[in-house]
Amino acid sequence: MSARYGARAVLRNTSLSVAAGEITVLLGPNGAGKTTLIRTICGRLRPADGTVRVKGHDAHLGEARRRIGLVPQELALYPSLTVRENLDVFARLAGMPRASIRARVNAVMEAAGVGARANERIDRLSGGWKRRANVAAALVGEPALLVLDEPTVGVDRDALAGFADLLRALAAAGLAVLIVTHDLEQAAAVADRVAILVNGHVALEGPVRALVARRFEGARRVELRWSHPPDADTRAHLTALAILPDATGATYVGRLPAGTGALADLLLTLEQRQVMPREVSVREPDLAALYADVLAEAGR
Amino acid sequence: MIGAIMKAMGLTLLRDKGALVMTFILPPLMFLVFAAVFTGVSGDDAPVKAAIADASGSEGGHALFLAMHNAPLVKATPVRNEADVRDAVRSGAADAGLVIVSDPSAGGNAAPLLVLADPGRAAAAGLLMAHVQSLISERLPQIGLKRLGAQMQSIVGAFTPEQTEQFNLALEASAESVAKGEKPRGGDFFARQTVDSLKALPTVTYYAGAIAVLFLLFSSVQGAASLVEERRSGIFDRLVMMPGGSSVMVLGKFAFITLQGVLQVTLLFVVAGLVYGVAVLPHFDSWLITTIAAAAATSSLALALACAARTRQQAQTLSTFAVLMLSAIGGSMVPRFLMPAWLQSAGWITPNAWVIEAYQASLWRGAALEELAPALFVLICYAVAGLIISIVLARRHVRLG
Repeated sequence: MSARYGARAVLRNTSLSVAAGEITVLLGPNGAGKTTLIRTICGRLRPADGTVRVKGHDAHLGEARRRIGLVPQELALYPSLTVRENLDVFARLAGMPRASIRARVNAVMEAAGVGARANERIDRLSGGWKRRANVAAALVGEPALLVLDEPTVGVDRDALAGFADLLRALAAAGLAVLIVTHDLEQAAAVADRVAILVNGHVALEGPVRALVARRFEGARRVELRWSHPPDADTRAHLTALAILPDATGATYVGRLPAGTGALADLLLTLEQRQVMPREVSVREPDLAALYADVLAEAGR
Repeated sequence: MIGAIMKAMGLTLLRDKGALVMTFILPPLMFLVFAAVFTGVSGDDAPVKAAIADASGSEGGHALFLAMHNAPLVKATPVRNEADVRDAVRSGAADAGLVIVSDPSAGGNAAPLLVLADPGRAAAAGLLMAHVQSLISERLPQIGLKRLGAQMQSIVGAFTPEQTEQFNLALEASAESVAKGEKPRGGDFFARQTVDSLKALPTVTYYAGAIAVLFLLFSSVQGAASLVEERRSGIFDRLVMMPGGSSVMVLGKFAFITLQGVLQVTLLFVVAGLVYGVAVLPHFDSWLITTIAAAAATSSLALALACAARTRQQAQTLSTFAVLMLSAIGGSMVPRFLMPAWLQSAGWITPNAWVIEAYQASLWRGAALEELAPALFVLICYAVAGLIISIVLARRHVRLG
């Protein structure tokens, strides 16, 4: 699908599927179109062409919206109400029969792990508990798809692990989970699949391990940083090794095969030419390396 | 679903002590302040602070000077001369000034009394003149008679000895009447009766309605501002994903703010009834319908403003401007009958004027419900129009493209 605000195209030929029982993480730099994609999935923005479907229903229709539990980036809860009162309000707004609300609220609190704080006001909870309650509120309507927009903003590191466990448990229970985040560490901790959105287009999508293996083919990611762009000979040497400059021209990124001595040879050459970089970074390929590599490629 | 929104708003209000005070305590307090001001000063019995100087050196002038000093409705400050009187008025030490220029009982074309007015307190000069006239009429009738006699002689010629004797007898008789505490003989121009169909003072009833609608607007704006806050906090995003969408959100807020308004006005009128005898119970039907219509009109107006605003700052600016303008033009701050005719006409575009008119009609004049129909119709139109605009604008916030 494609989407636009007026004359400005924001998403172009974007394709993404989120399956039940899986956690898909949507990554992308600012302005890539992540928020627009979320809004389109939630039915608030009609695609310029193509379709968005939720369990077979057009996202623009109420039927689809009822199957989505949205966890906005902000804490979308009534701050002076308790956790239970908030869930009760949202359950009633979700159109649940009165008789089943209490049981549903208890079940959701159990699933989100906020039962111990049921009767505490939201504005008196710590960041981690607030985020859990924020997720719980999205679950009361029994959604098929849970959409989380930057769900861990403001959560301390201790609470992050628990939050990742919560998301995995929800996926294991059969929910399709789509997370939009800038937090690569969190993404790596929970993602079954990853989609990287660049310039309004899904540049890469698939299971994290498979994508990394396919992209790096056993190579290591090498990043060389100078204070100023290196001389012409050095540039030519690096380009010949497929180590290419970013937009600044002072940083070069590429891949070198592991265990072949290619990195040692490169560093020796640079030392002999007396153009040693200010910083050398060599990383085993992971999600962060994959993301950086995709962005670097897009920048070129 | 509307009940769920009402529940959330209700609990939020109950747990916000500041908002509770603003909504339910401040309006009756403000009403009591206004009522105290307007019952203490019902109009023509207002005490006037006056600086007085007797520059006449006459017996009549001195008598008037002493009488003014002892008059209950004049807080007289004696000063030496006209310059001191001017200083006292200019500095604000006195509301108005009186200079006894010449003998007030003597004839002649020149005025024997000079009243000095502060342009900022022009009404005080009028009151002082009224008090002086009343004093001369009731306490010093011989001054008036002597001046009248002198004026008549200048027109028809000198009295005959017999007429002079009769005139002197009349002067003695009037002095004796005053000494006995009787009202002097003489034809009064005015006989005064107060139209007071009900127990409470009309100004109190007026201000009960005026303050009620003013605070209805304020608390409605505060309640409706939660819409802007919820758009910012993401609650709006969450709610529009639910079956009722934005319409339920707006309707829930409308229902809650209207109910809150009815409770707020009820509390205000209970205080007005207990303290000042504003009679609500004999006109309960018309009062209740007026109250519901007023609360609905202000609630939907506030929601429309909140929906029209994109940011909290914008909502605050828009609402403050609207509430103050509507209240000023509509008569919540100053009684409408004191306004120029064009402003009184302009006032009819505000809900304030219609609410005040409806309360005045039912509680003061005892009008039947049918007589309130025009005011109620306008208020209901306000409510319906505001609600439709709010729902349409809220939907625009949902659909981004």
